[in-house]
Amino acid sequence: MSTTTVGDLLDRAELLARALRLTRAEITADQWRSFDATSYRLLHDLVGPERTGNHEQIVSHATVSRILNGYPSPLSAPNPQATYNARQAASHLGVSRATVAADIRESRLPATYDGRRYSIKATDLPSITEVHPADPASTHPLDRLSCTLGVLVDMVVTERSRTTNIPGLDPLRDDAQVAPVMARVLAMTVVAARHALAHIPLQDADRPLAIARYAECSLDAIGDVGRPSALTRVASFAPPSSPRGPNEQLETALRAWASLARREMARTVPSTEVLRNIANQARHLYAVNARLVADSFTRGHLSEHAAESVHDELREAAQVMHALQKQWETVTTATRPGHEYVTATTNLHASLSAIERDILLPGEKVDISRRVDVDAALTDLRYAATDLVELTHAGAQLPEPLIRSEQLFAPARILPSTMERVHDRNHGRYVAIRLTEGAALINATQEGSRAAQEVQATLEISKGPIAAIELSTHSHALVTRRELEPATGLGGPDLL
Amino acid sequence: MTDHPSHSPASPETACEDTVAQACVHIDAAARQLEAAADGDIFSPLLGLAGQLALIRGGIDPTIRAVVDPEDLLGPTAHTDQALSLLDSFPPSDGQTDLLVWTLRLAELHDALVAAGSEQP
Repeated sequence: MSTTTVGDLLDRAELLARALRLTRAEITADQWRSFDATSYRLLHDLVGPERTGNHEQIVSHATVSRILNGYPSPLSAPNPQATYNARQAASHLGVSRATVAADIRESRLPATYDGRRYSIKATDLPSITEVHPADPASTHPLDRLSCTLGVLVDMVVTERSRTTNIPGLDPLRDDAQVAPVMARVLAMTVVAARHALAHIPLQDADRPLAIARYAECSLDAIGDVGRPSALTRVASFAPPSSPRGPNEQLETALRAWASLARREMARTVPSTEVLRNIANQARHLYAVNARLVADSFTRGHLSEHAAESVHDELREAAQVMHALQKQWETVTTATRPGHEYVTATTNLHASLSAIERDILLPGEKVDISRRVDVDAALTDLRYAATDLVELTHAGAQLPEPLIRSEQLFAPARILPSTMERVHDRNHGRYVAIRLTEGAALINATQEGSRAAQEVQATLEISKGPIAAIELSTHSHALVTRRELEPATGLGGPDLL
Repeated sequence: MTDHPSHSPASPETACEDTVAQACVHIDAAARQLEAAADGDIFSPLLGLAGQLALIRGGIDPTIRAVVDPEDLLGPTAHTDQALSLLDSFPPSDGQTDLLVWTLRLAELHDALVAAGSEQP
């Protein structure tokens, strides 16, 4: 597995913060500044831009914004593209808001005014201190902590740059999910600042003292927000470039497929062949997931109840996806699928099929280097289930605009006959479908989106400790493996 | 865009259709047969193969579909064989520039189909 989540990085950072207690080595002002600047960048990127529109969101965002704005004179701008309002610029410079306003009026500080507030580019603010990134080769826990938080910043920036508007799948735009992560960062900042106070030369101690006070005060302001946050599940993937073995191949194939599927869906007029294939691939992913769940149950890693419930959910969702691909088959945008996507989906199909075959073989018949690590494969498929939530949600937004812009066609012969269509019907032509004629498709895409969300939720629950109830008492399981397994092998009379 | 409602993928009615369209009809027929052979098993591997065939057909021409022919005597492998021979017989200087790539993809899938067939009990 080459997948890291926000939660993994936070856990690692907390271990490093804990390790600070065990080190007596002095730290330099540079080491502290690296941490200080990284901590601010992380808080800044977690809080993100101001909310507009929804009053409730604006109010809830005000709390976290206030905490960020209270950061004492940040040492450097979080990123060159950032802009500040007068209050933030004042905080950054360690001066009053009136001083910033005076500087702007007297043209000492460039700014734009939109009628309500000033906007000041981060690059126009005078840099107080030169901050170097922490040395990644250093073994000092504070440097390692700074580097870990730096990686976290990159993940947050990448996640924020994704254009998703799926309810529940955009934790960075939900302050209730952001606050617990901010609280953990602030707690680590308190620990690091207190450590710095004890180990930094006295003449440099003012800054850690100010940050320790700020972080403690902010922790109180943020309140008891609890630890769980959907943000901790945000993942970053780095699949191997030369995958070895079925697990690495699956991971690489999944990442490439998900990324290219997103790209295909972002085309101005996406290919319905791709949309159909995504539904089909979703069904295949659920099928393999069901096989792996059955295997997990057999090996005693999953309780009977959990296995049964996951299996049922997957079967139901697979049926919905099959119905969805049948709906996409009835229409076309006349856009051909991209070659890169076809290669990626072919690789994924091959990888999933190989895993299905291996799972069915008795253990001794599988080469040890080719044996599937079922738990790792299930983890990869759980991430894929999240990709499917996004893809199916995006897919559900497509039919209506495509129909309204007359980009979705079907053979005139299968559509209701009208006077205008007689000619097209007689000549075997395709015609643009009407909104009422696309009702079944629209419905199927929405069903697909809902099913993907349900599967994702079920898989998330199934990985928890509750699902892993011991199997030893279930020697006479009510549900046998055969019942849990999907049909095996190729069926059908006189098939090939 | 013209619809190609072939009554029988290999019937004389389609003989006059252009080669690529005929190949597409064969590919689509193979996909449909695989789907039918899955016999309602939603987790059947055949559905995955059918999906891949449909995608290749869509890459060659997204507007062609075969109509189900109850009298069809060919199986999925034979339909794919036919499609491959038709595509291979197509003059290289004609047709869409990436037809060669789609033909290669189909040939690879054909091998997977044959392998899947050999795994039958």
